[in-house]
Amino acid sequence: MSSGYSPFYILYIAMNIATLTYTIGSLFYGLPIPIYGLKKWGPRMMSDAIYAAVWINIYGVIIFAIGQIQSLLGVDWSSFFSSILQLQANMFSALIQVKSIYYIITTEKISMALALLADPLLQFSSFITDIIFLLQFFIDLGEFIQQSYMILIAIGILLLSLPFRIGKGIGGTLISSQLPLYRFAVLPVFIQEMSSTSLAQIGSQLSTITDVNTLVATIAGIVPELVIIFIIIPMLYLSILAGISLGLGNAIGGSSGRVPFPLDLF
Amino acid sequence: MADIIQFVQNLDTQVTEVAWSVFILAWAVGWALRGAPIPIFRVKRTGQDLIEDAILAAFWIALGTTVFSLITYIASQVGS
Repeated sequence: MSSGYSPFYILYIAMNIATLTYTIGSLFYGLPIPIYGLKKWGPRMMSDAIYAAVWINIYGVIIFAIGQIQSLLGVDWSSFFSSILQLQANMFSALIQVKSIYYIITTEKISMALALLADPLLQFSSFITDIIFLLQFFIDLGEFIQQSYMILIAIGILLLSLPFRIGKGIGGTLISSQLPLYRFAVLPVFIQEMSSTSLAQIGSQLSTITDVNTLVATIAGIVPELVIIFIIIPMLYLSILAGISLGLGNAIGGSSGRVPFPLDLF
Repeated sequence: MADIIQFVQNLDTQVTEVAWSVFILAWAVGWALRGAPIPIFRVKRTGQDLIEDAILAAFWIALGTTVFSLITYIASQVGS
């Protein structure tokens, strides 16, 4: 790690903090003050510390299991990046073709009257630009997840081990969000399963744009397909992942974060 | 970077010391209440509870700090 914080160093800090939590818990356990609201923090914090220690020690197993499930699904990050990058290149060439056809139409003296009719071409090219941005966002998101999922899980465990359940909710959420988000690499496969056309087909269809006839046919045929593939299906996929991570977050960190003192408003 | 670890470990040691002294205090207070010449059952009962809690706390301090420091030691050996 360039920043000097490796995931295992963070886990080492987390282990020390879990020890601290345990000791504070046993301190509360033996406190000679017979107030139940205070003393119940003793066993609670002791079990929290043991829970965090278990998470720290199965960290390697979690990382291994994530990679294992990924390879069971038959995808890896390099195939994800190469398919998205290939698509992006196809989109760029289609953009250039559409733009050049537009300028040929509008600058030829014969077809000056066609200039108004060629306006939809501009809209189509800006739509392609949107999709290129979207693909770039997918690539950035994938790179972020791939590079930092280990350290984010480690930080989640560190938050989980803090005393008085300060970071239990957010730590559990951090851990649980990384487990499904790592499945983001399955997105091209998911798109292929959900839609009738594959990404490669879309790419090859876009790269056949050479003249006005194929352009019109492409626009007519491909726009609904593009909307479904690049907007609706990824949103569906991300919302499925978010739902899984919400449920997992509740399972790991408890339903909500709690304040370190009894708070009874009513 | 090592100062965070150092800080937390110092904190660990200090809290453990405080926990042991609190155990002794709770033990003493518990026996004082239990043996007090006051014929009020609730006070004696509280003393009894304090002694029980103190013994359990001492047991868990002894066991827990040993296990946790063992794991931390192994982790530090593996990590470095």
